[in-house]
Amino acid sequence: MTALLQTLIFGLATGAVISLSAVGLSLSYGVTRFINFSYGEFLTLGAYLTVLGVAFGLSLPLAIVLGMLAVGVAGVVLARIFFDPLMDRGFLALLVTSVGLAFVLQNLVRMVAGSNPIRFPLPLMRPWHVGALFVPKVPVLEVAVALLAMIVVHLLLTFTRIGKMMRATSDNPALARASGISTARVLAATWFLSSAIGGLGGVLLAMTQIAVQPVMGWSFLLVVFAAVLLGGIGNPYGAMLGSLVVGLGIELGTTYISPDYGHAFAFVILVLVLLLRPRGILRGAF
Amino acid sequence: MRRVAILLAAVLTTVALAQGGAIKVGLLLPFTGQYDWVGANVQPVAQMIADQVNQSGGIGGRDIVLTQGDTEGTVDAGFTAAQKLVNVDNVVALVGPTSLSFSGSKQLIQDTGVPMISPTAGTTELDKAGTKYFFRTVPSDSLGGRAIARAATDAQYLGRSQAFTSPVLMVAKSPAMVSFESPLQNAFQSYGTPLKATLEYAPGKPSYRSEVQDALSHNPDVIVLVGTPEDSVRIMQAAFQAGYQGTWFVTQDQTNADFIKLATPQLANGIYGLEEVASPESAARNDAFKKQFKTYSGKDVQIFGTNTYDAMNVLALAMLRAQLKDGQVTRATVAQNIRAVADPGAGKVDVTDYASGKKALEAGQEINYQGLVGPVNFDQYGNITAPFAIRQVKDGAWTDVTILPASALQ
Repeated sequence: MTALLQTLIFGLATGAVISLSAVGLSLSYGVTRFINFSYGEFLTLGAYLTVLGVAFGLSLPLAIVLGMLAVGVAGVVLARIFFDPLMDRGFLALLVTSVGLAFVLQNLVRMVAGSNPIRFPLPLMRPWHVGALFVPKVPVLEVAVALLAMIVVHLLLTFTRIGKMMRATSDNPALARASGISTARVLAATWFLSSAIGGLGGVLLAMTQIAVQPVMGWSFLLVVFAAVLLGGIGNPYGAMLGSLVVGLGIELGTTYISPDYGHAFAFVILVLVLLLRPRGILRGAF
Repeated sequence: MRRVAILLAAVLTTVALAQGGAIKVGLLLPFTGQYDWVGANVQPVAQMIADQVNQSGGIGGRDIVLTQGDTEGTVDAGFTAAQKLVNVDNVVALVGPTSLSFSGSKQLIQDTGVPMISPTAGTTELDKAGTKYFFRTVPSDSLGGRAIARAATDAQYLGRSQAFTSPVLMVAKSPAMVSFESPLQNAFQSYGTPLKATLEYAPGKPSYRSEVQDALSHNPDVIVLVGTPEDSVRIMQAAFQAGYQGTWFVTQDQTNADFIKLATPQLANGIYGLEEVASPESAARNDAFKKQFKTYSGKDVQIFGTNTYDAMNVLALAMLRAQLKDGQVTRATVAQNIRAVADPGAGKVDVTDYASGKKALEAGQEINYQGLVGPVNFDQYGNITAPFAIRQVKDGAWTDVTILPASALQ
């Protein structure tokens, strides 16, 4: 029973790490309708910029916030250069461009920061002991940050004007345009929000992985895709739920079946759910 | 327009002729991908030696030119890169490959008779790969595994009152790492303290909580950890979170300052590590090499730097001897001359670099190259032996505990 509880705690933390990144990816898909393969690099950028900020003497929270903002801006600029001009060229052109952009960004990071892993500047902390359970502080922190970020995203989508415009564009782009919603503005806001959330997701990933590496976002992208598809692509709330299922699946699978196939469990769950509910757990736009 | 074309053709012909006169050496290493740091560490040292040779007149007036073959740290890409170097670039010899891609190049090297000297491949696959073309200036993982087991089971090498009694091995399932597994198991067994458990783990995972729980269930007093630095830190931190109080023993890849930085001094304190150690006789030469390299590249010598220094010097001296004795530098003559310049023998003069070796060879003497990693005396399969230092992290820095002489590993 202790082992199961322990595993559930870790599953929750893994789900939290996946969920932030998944929400960002789902947001951008909801509005742009294409799967952005360069999204993983926004995770990498977020982690590296935070490390850079701390190296320049900033406190960790401030470095994280500035890193997120910088990734958000980078997302808008990159989308303006590479994706916006191709929006009318169809899904394939955008997809291939995003893969190419992913490799360019990944190698730019490698060129500037090198390939060697760099420690994420988080101090070593002993866990809390609750009876026979040990509760590491980092996963608790990750869950708290992810929850907070998702509440902010929810409030933004529900109560702000730009959030409502994003939802309207996601539901029916033509109708949104006819209603006077500026597509360019919505696109820019979406890219900013999606990229900034990705940057924060990268920070949580770095906290889990302890070290940052140029390939970290790209490697994690498949798991994020699994969570997004599982929840219902384009639906941020579905992405949150999908991430939780994937996180728990990975931890339960590695503990009770085999630790060798961590990410494979995520895809087994994905295949099973999609066979039964082809549009994911929660379907529809947000 | 015609003049430009003629001029261009003349330039290209000159370049082609100049290239044809050069002696090509292939660097068969990962230059991209996860292990690109290996190529980045080896290449500048190899280039420094090549420059020294060329500045001293080359091999019979011909320059050594280094040609890169990027193995990307994989078997498939390693095979493609080896084919390019051997069949397209027509290199005379190879520096490399690493353990990661050796299996892809082995047959090609054997079939084409191109000699290789690897400064990085500890893989046990090279232990008895062949007697003609395979050489390395890095000790086999068999030897490294024996050194770890010897030290862990004998308190005199640990600088503590008791040896470890419940060792557990955690090893990454990758060609470069899993090569340690069997030597470690056999060595712990032969030294009277069998491993409590051997746990293989998948490399590159974001966390290793389950694997660590499994390892800790065997109540180890030491965990021997064979993996990449980043995976090792993830495992050590997961064990720290789970309350592990025992010790760690890591391999050569982690026994460096970068690893402490990655792990943090708090996590790394007390762990044991293994490092190939320069013989006392070569300590001063090691320092001189570090200064020389700093002047040349502006950088510090990185892991595999000293091994590369020895590999390139042996290769260059073998080429020179081939030129002087056989009148031609070919794959076959270079392969035959590697032992002639590196192994001991009656009447041979000890030399420690290309300049001193060149002087002796041109004076008609036979030479025995003495390297930075040790005497560089190849056994019949092209392996070297070397003493190891047992090191421990104290106050955030690696400190020497004892030296394990090569004789203690028999």
